[in-house]
Amino acid sequence: MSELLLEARGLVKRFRSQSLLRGSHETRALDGVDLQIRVGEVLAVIGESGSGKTTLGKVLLRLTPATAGEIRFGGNDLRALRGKALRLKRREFQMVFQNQRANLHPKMTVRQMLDESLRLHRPKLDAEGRAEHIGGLLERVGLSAKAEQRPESLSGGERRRVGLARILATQPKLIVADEPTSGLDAAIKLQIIDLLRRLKESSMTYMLISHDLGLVRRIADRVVVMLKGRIIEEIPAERLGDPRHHPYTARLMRAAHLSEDHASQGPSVIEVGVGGEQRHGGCVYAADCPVARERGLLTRCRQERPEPVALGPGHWVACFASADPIEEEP
Amino acid sequence: MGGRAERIAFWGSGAIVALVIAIGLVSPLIGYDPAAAVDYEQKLLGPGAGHWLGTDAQGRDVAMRLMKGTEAFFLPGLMAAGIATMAGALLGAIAGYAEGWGRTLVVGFLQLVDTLPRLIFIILVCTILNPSITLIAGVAGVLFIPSIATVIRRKVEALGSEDYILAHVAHGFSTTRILLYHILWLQARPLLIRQATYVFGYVLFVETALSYLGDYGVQEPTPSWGNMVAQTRELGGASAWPWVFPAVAIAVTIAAFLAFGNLLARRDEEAIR
Repeated sequence: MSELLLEARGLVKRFRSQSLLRGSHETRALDGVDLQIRVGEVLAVIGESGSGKTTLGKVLLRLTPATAGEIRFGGNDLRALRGKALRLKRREFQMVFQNQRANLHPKMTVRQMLDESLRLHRPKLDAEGRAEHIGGLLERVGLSAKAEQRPESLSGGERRRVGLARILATQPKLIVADEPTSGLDAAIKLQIIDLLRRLKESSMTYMLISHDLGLVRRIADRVVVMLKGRIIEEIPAERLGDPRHHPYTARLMRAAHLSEDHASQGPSVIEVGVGGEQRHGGCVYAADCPVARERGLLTRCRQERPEPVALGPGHWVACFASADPIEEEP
Repeated sequence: MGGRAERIAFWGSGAIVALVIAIGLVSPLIGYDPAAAVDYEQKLLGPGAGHWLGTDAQGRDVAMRLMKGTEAFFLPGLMAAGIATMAGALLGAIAGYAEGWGRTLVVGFLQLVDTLPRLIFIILVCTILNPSITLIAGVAGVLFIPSIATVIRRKVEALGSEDYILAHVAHGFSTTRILLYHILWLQARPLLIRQATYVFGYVLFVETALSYLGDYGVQEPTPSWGNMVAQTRELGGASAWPWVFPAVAIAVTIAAFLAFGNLLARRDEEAIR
């Protein structure tokens, strides 16, 4: 197994909101997350919107302060870094934002943006060296003809690729990609997937945040499933569809499967909609879990937090009912 | 881009603005003694060879006084525009980006200043302090801080909610660079140009208004376009020459500054479309 690039332990992120009518209200976006990313792998984080995927990405990269927990990146304590030291470290871990416009400056050409990034992160390069480098980057993302364009005149897929080129300019060790294909039509999506795969072959390490299972199957090595701020399952990507999933993952897979059947080319996007507020004591899925109800585990699931149970190499599930395979519902 | 009429308006107003700025810069270099200029033999002349724009009731050359009159508002106007845009941009950026007590303090200050009615507050300052035009312009500049800060703040907040700022922080840029260069310089520049020329025009308006009213502002015999126009009161219908040029100068200059600021901003916006 290759070496660890990033390791997080016990990450907690709480948001507190004040309201005159309802008083102080606390949301746990991350509720005790442990995570490891190894050099050269693609780790996918899946879960529906609101599960804390994006927050996890931002907290790991020090874009949002964690409330508690530990983050180590290449041996450094990331939470201890401040100011300029942190800024310089940032070139090693980059994020592709879900909002494609966020990465790009509307008033700069593609070349100007890449030049600015190179000036910042490769200060030793002179103008000629930067120009050469920009040519290489644009070729890598297939945008050589668009160097003098501004974001307005680029298509959605092209903008993503500019964003990626900008990120590659820093030569990062880790890329966190938040929904890199959302909002793109099928053909352009394939281009982006293809690009991500090629980068993977050049041994880039990714954390892929997505609720697109099709994308995850294509490029991820390992998958973790998030629900309400917790990781409830970890599984090697090739074993997705295993009969011994967490009940929630099983439901996600079924939902994705259904939507794939309905529109064979359509997006296999998962969104099952788990209601109810957060319960901190027990399993986050207890209120909606059909397995807990069937097997009479409801009281226990509501009160005790389930610990991870290993089910196979690289596969664990945080569920009291995990010992037995979960039956497919008729 | 822009039609023919807009191009003409741009260059026309630009020429007037350039002329006013040139006169404003050159004027202090030319000596002028208002007392020595008095010559009752030459009073109330129309435009002619000796006096291009005629003379006033005391026989002083109107063209000369018109030129020297720019000193009353030129530097004060620049100063006010500078105060308003720089402080407004900076405080707006802080109010849009910062959190905690810093933000509370800035927002509180902006709201407080914003409640003051501008002209009334300036007149109030005048009656209490009887200040120089420079001080009045400073006050005017401060009074414009909130309106500029508010626009900048909205811009920063909008970009913040689009993850724009976060994406640039993630990329490794310092917040100072993001706020000053990416947002204020690259994105808010047209807006600041517009506001700066507006404040300059406003100072010209306040200065001439106060000088016209007479109790505050620039006092005779020092020339100001405002106190030149005020001569109508003494002259009655005797002659229009002493006040018609300064009156036109006030109207044309204010209009030219507002139009030029607006059109320049528009060009700046379009250049990047």
